[in-house]
Amino acid sequence: MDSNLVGEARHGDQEAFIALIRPRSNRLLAIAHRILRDFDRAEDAVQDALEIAWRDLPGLRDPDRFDAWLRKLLVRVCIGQATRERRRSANLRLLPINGPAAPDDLAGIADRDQLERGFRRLAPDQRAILVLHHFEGYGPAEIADVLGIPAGTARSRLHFAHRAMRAALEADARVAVAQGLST
Amino acid sequence: MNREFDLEASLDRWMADGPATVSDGFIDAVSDRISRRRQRRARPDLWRQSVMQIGRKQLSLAAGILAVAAAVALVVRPFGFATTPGATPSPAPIVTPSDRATQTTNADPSISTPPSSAAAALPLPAGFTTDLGPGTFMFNRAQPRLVFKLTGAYSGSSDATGFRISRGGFNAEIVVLYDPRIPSRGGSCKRTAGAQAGTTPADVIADLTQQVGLEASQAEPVSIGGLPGVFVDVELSKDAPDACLSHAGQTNMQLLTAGTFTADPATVHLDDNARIRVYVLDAGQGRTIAIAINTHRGTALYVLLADAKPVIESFAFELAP
Repeated sequence: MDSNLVGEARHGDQEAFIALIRPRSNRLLAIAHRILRDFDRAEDAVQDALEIAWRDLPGLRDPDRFDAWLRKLLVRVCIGQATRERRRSANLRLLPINGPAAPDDLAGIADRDQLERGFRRLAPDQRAILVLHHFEGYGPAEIADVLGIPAGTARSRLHFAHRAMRAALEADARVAVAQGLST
Repeated sequence: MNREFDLEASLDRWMADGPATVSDGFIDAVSDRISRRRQRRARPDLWRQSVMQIGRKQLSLAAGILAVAAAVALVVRPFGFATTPGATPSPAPIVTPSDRATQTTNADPSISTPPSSAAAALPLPAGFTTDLGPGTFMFNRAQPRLVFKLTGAYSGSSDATGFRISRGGFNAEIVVLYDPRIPSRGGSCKRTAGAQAGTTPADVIADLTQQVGLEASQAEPVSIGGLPGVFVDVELSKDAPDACLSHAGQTNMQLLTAGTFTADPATVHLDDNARIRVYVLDAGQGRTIAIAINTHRGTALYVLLADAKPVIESFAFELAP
């Protein structure tokens, strides 16, 4: 069914294209949001990716690859957006969140905040790899397909992304300790 | 949180949270955007068919011809450009960016994979050149390299720290400086490099516009060739104490230089009664790139801006592989 829609959309049928993307848009937004950490920018990224998809759809040879191809476009747009945003905010300092010390009932929130801050420290392509792995459940081979890199490279980048995330969390913890000592 | 053991599980749980649905009107917005966007035509795989139909001998012959052509091009190219004033250059070949280059740039401006336009671009020759374009050119003596397109005839000059191109003599020019500096502070007309202007576009603009005797517009954000930055328009105030006399007897002030300050192309002068637009871009890792558009005649700046717009819009900064 979707293959037929892809075929019709490839030949300029806008309604077929909309029918294709309508059931996919929520998932695409979720992926974009995990990478960009901002709802509005995520929606913009999905719209950009869908516009590119519409423009380049006639060049897609295998209709069955539509979903993988669409994810590839989206991830590239997100990495691009995140890279530009990272350059713009290079001088911004991440402000620590002031508040009460985290007792047990707030531990989950504290963890989420730490993960959020740590994740934002990562390079855009590292964010994308972690999202593809932990949100989409992709293995190195699928990540490699989306990012257009060899599987071995994807495996090592995934490893380094985890390592960078650990380093970011440890750096965040050191800042928290230093602030605790100084107050 | 035990990060040694729980990181992956924590990431799994953390990523499960988040918005689940697009906003109202999202599909309508997409529909509106695609209704205004034409689809690209698919390119047939003609090369596959033709390769299958051509025999091995013909392929070998074609490869040999290509190799000889490439070798001839390598030998001939260095003599195709004059490197000193007055020499007669050969006409620059016309090179247009391929469709694939445009597609790559539009589809994903952030990906560091060089577009094929870089492969087709002619490196800017060192020194003075009287004939550039139309065609696609590349300044590749500094990182990130810059690929750009000229649709008309320009003259130009370049060194290791930047380049200058102009159309219709030197009265209207585009100057690109890598790692710009503020020269000759304190009223001296001596040409010295000065300190590095700053490590961010905001630093450079602040340093630039704080000079005595300069009037500047409000800085505004801009993005050129994939790099973010800011721009201002500047002109000399009536009582500029830092101004000097140019060799033509005109009052002017050295506005920017590039890092090594080794040659004429690395300086931007602001003439009396002139207005210059200065873009400063963030090249990352504490480096900046300045682009100045200068008419040497204040009232004509905005005419030149329109003229320079296609050139500036064609700029694509990219890290060489």
